[in-house]
Amino acid sequence: MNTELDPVIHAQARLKVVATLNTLPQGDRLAFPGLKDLLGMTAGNLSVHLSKLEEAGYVEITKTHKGRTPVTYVALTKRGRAAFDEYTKAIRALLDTAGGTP
Amino acid sequence: MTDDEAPPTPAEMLRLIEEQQTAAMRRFIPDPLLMYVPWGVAWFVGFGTLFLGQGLAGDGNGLLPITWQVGLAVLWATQIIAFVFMIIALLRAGGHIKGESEARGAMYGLAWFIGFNAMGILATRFVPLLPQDTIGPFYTSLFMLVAGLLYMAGGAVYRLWPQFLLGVWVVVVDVVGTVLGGGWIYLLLAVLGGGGAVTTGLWLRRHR
Repeated sequence: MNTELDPVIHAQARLKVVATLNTLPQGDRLAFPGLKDLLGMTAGNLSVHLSKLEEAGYVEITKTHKGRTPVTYVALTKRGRAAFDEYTKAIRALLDTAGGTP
Repeated sequence: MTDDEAPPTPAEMLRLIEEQQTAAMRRFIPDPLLMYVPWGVAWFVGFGTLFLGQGLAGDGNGLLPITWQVGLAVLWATQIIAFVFMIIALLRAGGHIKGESEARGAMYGLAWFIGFNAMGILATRFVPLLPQDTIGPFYTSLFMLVAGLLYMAGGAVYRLWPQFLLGVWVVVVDVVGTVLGGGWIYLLLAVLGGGGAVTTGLWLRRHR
């Protein structure tokens, strides 16, 4: 069985982003500062990872205003959800087949 | 270190996913300790005070010389405190989230608001026809019926069995207390109703 791991998600930081967003129900968006706190990443670092995820079509980033302050919201797209599902399945499959080998 | 290396093992990646999702759920789901326990305490103290004043017969000759006005004031004061705790938990959990769950939460919140106001207006219309010693239990039974039903509805909306079961429990206790008559409704709602809400909060907190 050939289980290629999705390179977009197969990096700790981006996996954490996707795993976090996947806990929200479809149709919900999370504000950037909330995501940042939850992940314990710097704003710059998180932005870099988010743009990679956005390029892949896995997250959708919306910028709005709350009064005069700009707020950025992040949500997982359907494609992102599917990719995360695939990834966790692949990881589980790897664990099952690997069972025993170091 | 913007693009960290893929970590060594699938097991570690899986653990990372699980840890991150647990942390996220804890943040996004309102703290059950603040959502349920304060209501349980409010009912225990509030209905308990009413019971101590009214007694089992519900005629005002209870264990302590407490008027029903004082009992009602205690019930409302403690419920307002519980409401504040609940709002804090809701704001903490949903503060960073926009979208469909906001609409769901708003509709559910409105259901409580409309339910209690409608109940208050309807009950107040019929109260003048009732004997004096049944007015308190009458309001109480309707009030807790609305609360129980909305807990059930909330359990359905958020697919949360413990919340649904708390609703069922509150309605059952409410009905039994009302049927037994007199001050029983206050005693049962204080001990069993309040106890049920506290238990729900502790259980959900433990199993989150």
